[in-house]
Amino acid sequence: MQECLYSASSGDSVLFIEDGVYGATSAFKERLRDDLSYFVLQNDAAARGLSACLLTGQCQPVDYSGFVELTEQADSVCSWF
Amino acid sequence: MKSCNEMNYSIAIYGGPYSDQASLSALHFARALLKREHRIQRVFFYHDGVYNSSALVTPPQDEINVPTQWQTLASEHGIELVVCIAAAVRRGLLDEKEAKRYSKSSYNLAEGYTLSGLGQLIDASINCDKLITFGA
Repeated sequence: MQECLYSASSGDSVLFIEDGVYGATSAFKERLRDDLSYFVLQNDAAARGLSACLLTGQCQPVDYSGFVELTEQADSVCSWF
Repeated sequence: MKSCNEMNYSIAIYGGPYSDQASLSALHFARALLKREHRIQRVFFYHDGVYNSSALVTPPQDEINVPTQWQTLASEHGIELVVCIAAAVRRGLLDEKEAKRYSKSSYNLAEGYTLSGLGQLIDASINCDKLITFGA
């Protein structure tokens, strides 16, 4: 997550998936740059017991269709794992 | 919601079927792609992702069989399932040709999967509109 946020350019979108959804919790709120857009895969967050109240309001929940939509809009897609 | 522009996607999977979420995430993503009327040209299995191509995967009956799900999706939508040959052979995933080459008594690459080189991943990154990687 740290490397991703370090490498991202202003205006980029960041999607948290799988165990990465923990990055969307309020615990990491301070680390989120405010020049990026954040999304979290709802299915993965729910599977880990992260209800909406545990996620930071900066992250917009999306489903797999929303995941696809984000890749449609992006010029390039980079996975961090 | 339908997308306005149909695009050509490829997917790379680096994780095994039951040890990482990668393959399952990729399956859900692939289905969402097809629902939005995109085309999936190729799924490339690399690193431990090659375990997705074993014909011998036998999960309990109440669990999904990930390799079979990929086979079904691929045959229904004309998707290439390409497995990195170097990653596969060293992990004991062989097709008939490789089994013969290394004098092995059997082979286990599932139907619908093809062993090929890393060039296929590079080709996907160059020739497809998007290459999405599911890492592990």
